[in-house]
Amino acid sequence: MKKDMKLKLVIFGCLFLLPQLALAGVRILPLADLQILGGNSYFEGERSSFKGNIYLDIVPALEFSDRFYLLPRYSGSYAGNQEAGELESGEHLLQEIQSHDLSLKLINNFRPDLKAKAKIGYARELTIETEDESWGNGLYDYDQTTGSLELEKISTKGRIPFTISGGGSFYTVRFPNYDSLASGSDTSTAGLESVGKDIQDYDAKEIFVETDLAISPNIISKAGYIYTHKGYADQRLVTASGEYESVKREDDVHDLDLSLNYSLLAKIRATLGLSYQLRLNRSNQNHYDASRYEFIPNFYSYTQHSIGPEITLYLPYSLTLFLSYEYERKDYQDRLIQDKEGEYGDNHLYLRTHTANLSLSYPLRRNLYLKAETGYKKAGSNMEYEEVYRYNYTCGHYLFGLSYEY
Amino acid sequence: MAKKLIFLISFLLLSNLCQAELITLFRPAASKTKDSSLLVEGRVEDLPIRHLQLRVDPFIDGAPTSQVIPVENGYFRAKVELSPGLNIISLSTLSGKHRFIKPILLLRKKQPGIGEFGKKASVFFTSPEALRASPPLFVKGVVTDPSIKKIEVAVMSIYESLPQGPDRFLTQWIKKGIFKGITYREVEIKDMNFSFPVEDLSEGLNMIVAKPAGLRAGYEDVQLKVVLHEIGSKQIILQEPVLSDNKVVIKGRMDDPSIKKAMLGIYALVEEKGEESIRWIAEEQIKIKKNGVFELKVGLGKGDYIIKSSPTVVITAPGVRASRTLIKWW
Repeated sequence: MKKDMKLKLVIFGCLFLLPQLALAGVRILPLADLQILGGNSYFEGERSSFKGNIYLDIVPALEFSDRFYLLPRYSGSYAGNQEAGELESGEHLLQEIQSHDLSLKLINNFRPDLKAKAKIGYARELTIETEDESWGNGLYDYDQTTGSLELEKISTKGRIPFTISGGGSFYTVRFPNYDSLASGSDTSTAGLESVGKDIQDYDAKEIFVETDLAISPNIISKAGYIYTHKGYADQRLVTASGEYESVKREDDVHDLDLSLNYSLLAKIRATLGLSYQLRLNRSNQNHYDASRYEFIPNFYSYTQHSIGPEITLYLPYSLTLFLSYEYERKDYQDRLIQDKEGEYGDNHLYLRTHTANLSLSYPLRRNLYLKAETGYKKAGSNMEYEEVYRYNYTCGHYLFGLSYEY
Repeated sequence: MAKKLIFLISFLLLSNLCQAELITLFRPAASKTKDSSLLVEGRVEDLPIRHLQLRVDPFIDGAPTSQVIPVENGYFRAKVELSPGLNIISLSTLSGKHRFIKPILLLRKKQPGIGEFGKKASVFFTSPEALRASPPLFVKGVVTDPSIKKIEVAVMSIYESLPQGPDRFLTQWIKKGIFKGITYREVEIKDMNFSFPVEDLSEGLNMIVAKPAGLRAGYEDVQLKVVLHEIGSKQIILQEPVLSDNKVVIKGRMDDPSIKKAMLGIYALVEEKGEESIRWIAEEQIKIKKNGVFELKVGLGKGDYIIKSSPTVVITAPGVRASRTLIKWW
């Protein structure tokens, strides 16, 4: 039996046990978040028809006699509005996306200042790229099984209260439709059979460390670092002559995440945030363009920076206004640009994106909110060849609806 | 890898030595404050929680306050106003099902006398009857009003309420767990009876206060029980101290021949220049006889202070500690 299959069985087994636990005197503390929004999106000035977005997050938290918590969770979403999404190694226009995530998390304080967390989960994401496509046939549909362990130290006695946590996780990502569809697509290259069958599937191992620092009574900062090693068991390396080696693709990903959060608790309340993310993706995989006899080493290696401020204003009449902006810059290490006809240039590929979001919410009741939001994204690049992926585009959306919290 | 993870989760599931919270409170960390305006700040677990209900309920005298506060990127922050005395700060999810509680004391200039408590109380303690108690302690009682379904209980050292706080020695004792801070709980009433365990007691005199849950109570509605916790030791056998001619007579025996030296300390609640504080009123080295016996007389009241409560005698040697409190010292 495959490893991810075993994990799925464990998750479903645990979920089956939940009603029995409730009968055994375990207190159930339900938490839920539901958002139903409708509206339009546009891509390069072309508007979509009116579509809806639904987001549901349910956690029937289990409290075992004041001793510890077990958190079964379902998070699901459906986005009916067109949006640009990153698939494989570039941006695609996606018509619809749905995702489902089932997980089970245990939180346990061994000591008042030490918390252990364990989590297992299974997630599935389905995408529709073209209007005539149906659910379940998406080239980039994937299943993900996850397991993680984390230890957190909490210190609130000193002048600067803080938490620091570290741990490890593993996950497997499987693209069930990719191999069959890829073999018949234009993206296939000569000798595909020897490259491998499930070339997008990978297993990842992750270690992470994260800290929250309550620097002063109004400022909290957060810093996190994640190292991920991805092993593509069925994807062989491409050589300069366009042949495939026995060595498999491996990616090392370093993520650094820093943020600062400041609260102004004056007559008009506001929260200001500033965040910065750095990602270094180092891959040993190369690329050989057989049609142009072009070999590109380290095809998937890139450095990405993103920085963005955000502000939340708590206005009169219980109105909440949220505004955010993010600038992202992605520089590929060796990937070359192409002109509109696909001819390679000398410069390395870069992408720049500007993203802005604005939302307004108003409480109709204590846990029911009226919500309106709009977003705008502008992507630019020195890449002109856009037969497969999109590099230069503008898109946006505007949505309104209801948000309910329990 | 999956097998190891499943094994670890099973181990965590079966462990009983644990307690977890979905909310971590960064501020306030202390159990007492002098400022009535207080910042409440913390973090929630990665859960669908976008708002929290923040309440402040004064245990005695004062009106409760409540507000819904936002949770942004997992963090929450709000200002609250405290009433003098014990306040119960609670953070709960909007469903009210999950609740995190932090008791905090806003220090008063003048402490209430013991006689002010309980004249109209509908909550009565029946057990334990003895003054001296050691944790874990099982407290039992009754209510006289059948409509009371739940009571609120707080346990704290009498020294907790001092504006000056413990001196530097006692601050270390707080770190070592000799002083436990304030604990608060709600207890269900069954057939007009209640019982609850007290797992932590501070050294010396402890107050257990109780009132019907949700009642805006005055002192007369709140029942008070005082229990005395003395720290025993196998190595130091300390007899109950007695007062003779304004001197404390201390007798005891060291059961461990390896202990050659020990220190005596006496601390008490004192009033000095109009302010109450806890401080050492005597400190000296103990001479231990060859047979392990020690005996000494220590004079009290030499400083410019008035002793306000029962002094506690502490004998310490490397790695061991024993304490007894004078019940009748005046």
